[in-house]
Amino acid sequence: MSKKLSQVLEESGLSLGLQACGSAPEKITERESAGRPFPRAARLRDLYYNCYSSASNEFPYWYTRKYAEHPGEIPVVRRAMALREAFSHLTPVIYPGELIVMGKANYYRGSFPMPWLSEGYYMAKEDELYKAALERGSASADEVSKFGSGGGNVTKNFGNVISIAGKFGIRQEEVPALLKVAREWVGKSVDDLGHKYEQMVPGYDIKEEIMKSVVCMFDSGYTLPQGREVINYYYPLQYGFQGLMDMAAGKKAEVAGNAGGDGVSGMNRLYNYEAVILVLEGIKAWILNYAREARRLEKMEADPVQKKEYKEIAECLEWIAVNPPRTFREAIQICWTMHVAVVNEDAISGMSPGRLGQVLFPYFEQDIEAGRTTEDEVIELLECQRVKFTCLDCFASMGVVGGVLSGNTFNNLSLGGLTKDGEPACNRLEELILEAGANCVTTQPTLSLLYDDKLPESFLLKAAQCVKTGTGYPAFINNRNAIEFLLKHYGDEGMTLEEARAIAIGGCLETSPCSWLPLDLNGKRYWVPGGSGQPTSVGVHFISLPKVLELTLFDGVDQRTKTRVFPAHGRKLETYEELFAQVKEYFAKAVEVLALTNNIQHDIWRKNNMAVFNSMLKPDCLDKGHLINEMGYRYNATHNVESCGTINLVNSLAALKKIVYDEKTASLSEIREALLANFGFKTAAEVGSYSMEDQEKKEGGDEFDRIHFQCLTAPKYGNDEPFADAILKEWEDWFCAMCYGYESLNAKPYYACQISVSTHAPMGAATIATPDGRLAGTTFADASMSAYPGTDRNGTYALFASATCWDHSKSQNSQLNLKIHPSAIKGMSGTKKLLELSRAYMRKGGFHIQYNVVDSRVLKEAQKVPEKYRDLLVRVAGFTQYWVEIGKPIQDEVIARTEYEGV
Amino acid sequence: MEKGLIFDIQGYSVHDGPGCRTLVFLSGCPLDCFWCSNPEGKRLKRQMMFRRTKCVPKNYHCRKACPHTAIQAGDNGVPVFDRAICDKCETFECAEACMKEAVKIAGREISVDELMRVLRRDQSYWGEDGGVTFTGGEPLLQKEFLINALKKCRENYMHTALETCACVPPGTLLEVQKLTDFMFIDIKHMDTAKHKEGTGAGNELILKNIAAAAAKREGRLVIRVPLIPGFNDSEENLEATAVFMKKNGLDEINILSFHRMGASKYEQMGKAYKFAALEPPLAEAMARIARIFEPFGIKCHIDSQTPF
Repeated sequence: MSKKLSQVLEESGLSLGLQACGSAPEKITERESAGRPFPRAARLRDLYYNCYSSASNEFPYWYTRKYAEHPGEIPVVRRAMALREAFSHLTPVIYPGELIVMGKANYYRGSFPMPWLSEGYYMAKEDELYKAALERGSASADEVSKFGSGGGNVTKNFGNVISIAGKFGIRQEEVPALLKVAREWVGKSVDDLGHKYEQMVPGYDIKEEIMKSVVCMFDSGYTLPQGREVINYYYPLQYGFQGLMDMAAGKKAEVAGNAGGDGVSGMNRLYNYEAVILVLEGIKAWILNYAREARRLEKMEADPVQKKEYKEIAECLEWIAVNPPRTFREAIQICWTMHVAVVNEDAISGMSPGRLGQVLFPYFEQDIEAGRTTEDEVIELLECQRVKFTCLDCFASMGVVGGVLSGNTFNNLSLGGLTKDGEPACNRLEELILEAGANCVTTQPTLSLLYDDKLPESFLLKAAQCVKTGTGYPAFINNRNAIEFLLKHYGDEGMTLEEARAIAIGGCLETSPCSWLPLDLNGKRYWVPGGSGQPTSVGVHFISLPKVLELTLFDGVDQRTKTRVFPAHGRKLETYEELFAQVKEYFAKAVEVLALTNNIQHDIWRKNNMAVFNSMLKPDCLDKGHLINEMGYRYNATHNVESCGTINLVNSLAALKKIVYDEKTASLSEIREALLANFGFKTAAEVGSYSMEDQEKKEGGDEFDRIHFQCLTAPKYGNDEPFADAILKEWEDWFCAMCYGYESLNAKPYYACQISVSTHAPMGAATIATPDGRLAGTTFADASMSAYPGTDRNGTYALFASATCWDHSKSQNSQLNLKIHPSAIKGMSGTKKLLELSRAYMRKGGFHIQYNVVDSRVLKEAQKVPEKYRDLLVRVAGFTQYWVEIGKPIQDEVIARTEYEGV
Repeated sequence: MEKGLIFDIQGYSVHDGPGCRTLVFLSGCPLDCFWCSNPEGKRLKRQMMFRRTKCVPKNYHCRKACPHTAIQAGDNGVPVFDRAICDKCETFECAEACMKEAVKIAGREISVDELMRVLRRDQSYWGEDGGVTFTGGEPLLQKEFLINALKKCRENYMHTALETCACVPPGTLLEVQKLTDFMFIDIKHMDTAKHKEGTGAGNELILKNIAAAAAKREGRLVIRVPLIPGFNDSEENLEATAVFMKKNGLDEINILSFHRMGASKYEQMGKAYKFAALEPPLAEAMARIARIFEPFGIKCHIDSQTPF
């Protein structure tokens, strides 16, 4: 019986062989710790640690009830009525010690289902609705996805708490009501209605097989229809909610009965403004309910300090429910209120606050100058805000939330970048945001540094210092690359250089179009950035490239389920060129059917379930009178095609090229045979680990040794070797260009998006062994530019050279995750070197790099005793997550990543 | 132009010179320090390494391939190498035959041009202060290759650093020093008899070379002492080091605490490692040692704390 490689190594006291550039010190090296959070924030964070993700029925109940009352109403108005009803009935809960208040639901940490999007997946597994979902392929992703069972996830029933969607606990007595509400939406939800129409797409049967075989992870239009975008806080900041309601009322009078030269949708403006007013009324009522609750608590409270705090909360809410904010405290509260309102309106992950430090700077500057607040008070508020963001949970299916997002909600806050006029945009408040992020370490909001050579060195070093605390944030984003991409892609919609400079990251890594708007505060004008585009990372979600290669090698038949996915290509694959051409052909077929079917889903969504509140926040909806459904946004070309497993595809093609076509040391059928036999190894599920190093040989499984060795030693990406890098470049040039051949429902071209989030685990689980030597079921290489663990043998610089062999500005993003041992970046000089490393990558044209500063041995220990590591954070792929809340396949992958230890 | 023999190139090195650097490890060393953490770089020759943990027992691909009958079947099916034969081998059929990379060769030939391709690539990543550090083994043993490489580095505006034991013919060090911006020179022991005991050679030549280099230096010169418990960690020896440095106008020392990271390499080379039971020194002990140099006005940096 062969031992696990890691066992053998441990027994003989040797290094794990996954370190590059020297070896780590013998003792486990701790991360450099920053300061501590303020006691208030620490208490609120502790409360979070001790809370389970909980689901409530309030919002869906009131929404559904109102919706049912108005069957004949214009869809946008009907939806706005339902939203108003739901918002005004949310039970306000304020916790002692909170300064920033309001949350998604009445639980400290939690969310609620939205059956109007999709109702099938959270039914009990034996329920016929669930079975129906499984049938159409949309539940396949659930089967291969896993949540971490630690932390606040409720993955199993306990007591009278029922686990739903793999993550949330709901009270048993609420379940019948939940199901009753859900059944109201059968045949009406975006999922069901979309399904009715998507079947009319020629080739729909292929789409169904694509989902079942996990060539693609999940549908777009009813899962998380919005997000991966940047919110825009501007209008309520400038005008206040009452001002906006008055403005909309004025606009209503202006457009009533008036087509305004647009015979198709001009008349809709009236209904849209009506809907805006309805939703704003709901939000105002929701805020005032909280204010009343604060007054109630104030009256009851004996402790004078807490009593005063309740009073201040009430005063703040009473003011912002109607007026534009005057102070930093009011501004940060109203921004938070808007944020929660947006993520309550729709199922959303990746609603990014954008350059919040620049949006809030006017209030900060004036409060500090007038002596109304201190920097310490500001940091404390920022820390409280971090806890609030971390308490947000997103309710969707397990495949989506667990398999794709690892439970993360991607509220990405961007720092730095340039102003409208090309000056460094960073400010003192952003430094405090970094400080709060380092002191009060939480998963949300994650931070992104818009790296530009113009930014001051001290600011960049502060950012690098924050990375070292092990939070993984901020990620370094290449500002100039992003600007180039935006100009190239949104030029047709009128994007200018000045506007491109407003860029912020939406979701984990999505370059998002933003705009500048003039904010006036006490007679001073500030240009503040904010989102002005539709959601990105919608459209064609995560296509598994290694799976496409598998289907190419096996003539269109999925080898895991033995079902046909694509029509047989019938090619003999006699040349490498023929092989690569067929990979591209199958990939293009997948994109085609997914684009068409998802266009339909999104169209159903925008007709019946459109964003009203999120829409009105974005330029130029209020001006035009058109919401997202009528392309009221300034930028609408946001749909994309996402890929996963790029590096496994590249390495596999390199292996096939060398072994089968160039050197002919094995034939394609020998390779096929070896892949099917998993190179003589057991499956990952049998072994219980999804990392290559833990895989075990079958008894007597030696006959594939030679071929496996050839596959493993074939050229690999990440070593500055032209053989593999040329394949990557060819793929990137082709992929980035081909996306432009597909049209979104907005009649705009698609573009390439290259992040893996967490899909590399479930997609790896559904894929047999690959010609690069990877074994069946094991996790793919993470991100799009990270090397496959252990295959980057020539060090970081060689990896960078490989990663930048193509033009990253052709794509919305690229992603490179690097694990660095804490000892490599110790002290002040270590901080400088970390910055130099990142800067060098940016200068070579790399789009994104982020670090996991952690000793692998700590992670292994944490796998064994999770309860001791409740607060351990790791960087996964574009986001930071609590170790205990991520699934085992991803944990294994993070441990296996090559660890760079400077010598 | 002649090729050089190297056994590693490592990018993003942060402890051996200013900024982010690329380290080039040259094979071959005139000394034979018993604690050496890079034993695979001692000889000016490629070296076979065997990693038992990677080996699939009983397969014996290596044994079947070896034309010198140097490999025998051992316990549990793990091959046993006759190191006397293997150490003379130049062909390494065993490594080619192994399918698990359990048999691996340390050392490869590289031309100056090939090396410069890597360094020019890395140059974009070093940042302002970084550069290349030549180390080993003893880089000066391949003098011609080193000088050619250093000249090319100069032509390409690269900052160059050298880590040497200085046990080379007089003149060699000075010649290379002219092409180098930063030098680390080791002093393993001040007592020549002890030095010979620990490294196989006396220290006269070394100390003479250091004195000459100190007199001619233009760039920074830092003395390095690998602190080996029971060998050179006595107060007496360290004081003698300080006196020597003071006399030659040297004012910076970097003490490297003993570590066991080379241990696995000894096993892979079929050699015994003498330090398996020895514990690395504690931080307090190191701090106490640092204080020895204070009265001499010498700055003492412990481990990776050298300010660059």
